[in-house]
Amino acid sequence: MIESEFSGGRNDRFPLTRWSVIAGVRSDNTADRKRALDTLCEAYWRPVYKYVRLRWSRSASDAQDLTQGFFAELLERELLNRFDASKSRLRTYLRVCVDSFVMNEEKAASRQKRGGAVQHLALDFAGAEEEFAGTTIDAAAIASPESLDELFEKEWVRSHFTLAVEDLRELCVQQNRDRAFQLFETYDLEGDENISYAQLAQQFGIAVTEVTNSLAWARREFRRIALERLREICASENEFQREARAAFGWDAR
Amino acid sequence: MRHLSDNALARLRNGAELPDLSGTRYRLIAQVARGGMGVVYAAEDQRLLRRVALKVLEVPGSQSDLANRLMREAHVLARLEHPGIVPVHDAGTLPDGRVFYAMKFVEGQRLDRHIESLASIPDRLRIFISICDAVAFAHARGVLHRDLKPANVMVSPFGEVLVMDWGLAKILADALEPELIKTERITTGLVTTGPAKPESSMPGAAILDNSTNPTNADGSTANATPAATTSPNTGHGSVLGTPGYMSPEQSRGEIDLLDARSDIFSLGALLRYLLTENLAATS
Repeated sequence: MIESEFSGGRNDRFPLTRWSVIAGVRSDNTADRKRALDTLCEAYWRPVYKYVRLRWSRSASDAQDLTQGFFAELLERELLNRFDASKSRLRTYLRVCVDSFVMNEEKAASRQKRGGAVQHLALDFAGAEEEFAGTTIDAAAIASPESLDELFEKEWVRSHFTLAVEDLRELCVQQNRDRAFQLFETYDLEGDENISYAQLAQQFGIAVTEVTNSLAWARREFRRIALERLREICASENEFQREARAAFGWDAR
Repeated sequence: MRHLSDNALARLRNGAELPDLSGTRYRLIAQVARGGMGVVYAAEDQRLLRRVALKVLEVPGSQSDLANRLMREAHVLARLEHPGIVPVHDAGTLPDGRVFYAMKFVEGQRLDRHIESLASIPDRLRIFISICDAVAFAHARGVLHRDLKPANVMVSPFGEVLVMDWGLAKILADALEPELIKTERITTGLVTTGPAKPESSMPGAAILDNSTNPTNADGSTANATPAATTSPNTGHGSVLGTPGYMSPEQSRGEIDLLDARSDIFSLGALLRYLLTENLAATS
């Protein structure tokens, strides 16, 4: 018995038309282009920074300058106009653009501090450097293009999920679900493997069922938010499907 | 902004995997199997108080190629009401946007494992006849399975024999009913005018793309069959099926030429398997 609707049913929360960053950067509308670049930068600046630090062995300040410069160049030279979603993933394209940018900067042998018409982006480089310093990556092991791709992908996922977690935090504040976020933070983010739902329930003074339901809700919302963010930076439905599988590790299982 | 460790990333991925069944009639029990077409879960239908299997895509979106393929599989199963073919109960989109269909929860063993307990030739032939009955029914309804093999047959503890995994099935266009033709047009994006054309002149219209099947992690079975060796393309020249069981025309990628005889070839390979596999050890 076919009961539920299939296409575009009432349970389908995803509209057929949605904004995408690729469409935005190619738009004639200045506001759209700015929003698109802001979205792109928010999603990718951390992986770009860490990638430049590791792959190109740049100091923190050099990597900071190069990251700023890369996004400025992305805008100035309209690099995304050349992106073809049928040929590669956006993040692979961006990584290659980063490599090209850094190599060109080396050839130029001098880097001018970006300024003038291009405003410095307000990015938390100190935080990114702290994360980078806290990771245990053996630069010598990062040799092949495949491992570079893996590195960039991992940092892209980390950045993406970080933003989604922050969105979830804000959502919980708006909906007075602070406890749900605290449970999510304790169990899923901090990941104390010794703690049980029963212990959490005792810690928070609530029933175990509330722990279960709150965590289930928070995880579902995290997934929804992360996927919605992902849709924005994908150029097509097929790219979104591929990137969603990559981000959540479904391809590897 | 909080830094997420590698372990946190892994936990977030694990935690985000389960489907959102809130507001539906289903209660999640456990994950059963996983494959290229999504994940199969055991669930309870809380309205009819029975266990079902839910096949759910991992990524939301009802317009994707995978979503269309999954629904097509559900449509194929829905038109094949036969004791030897797993019945589909429901299909749709979950609150989290993931497309799913619900089918009978089949407990039992895949034939390639069950065969170890089949000592007698007559028992094996009885199973083979049941498989043939199901396939003959499908052919009479204009449906080819295209991936018949021991791993796609389940045998229940009560002796039910079920042909599973119709993800590679092909519906012959001239067997389509008018309502289904319209549905096909919607799901495949193909515009048809006039009467339905013979299948060979509509190479893309009625052919499902490849699909890998859910695999069991622990070897036990419930609605679980392994991945077929397939090509992601559906055009002529693409190979669909499993080596050792696919017909010569299938192995040559002559998709347009496939008809009931391809399935019959696979049935022959199945028969050979049943008559030779593991027989010396059990006799």
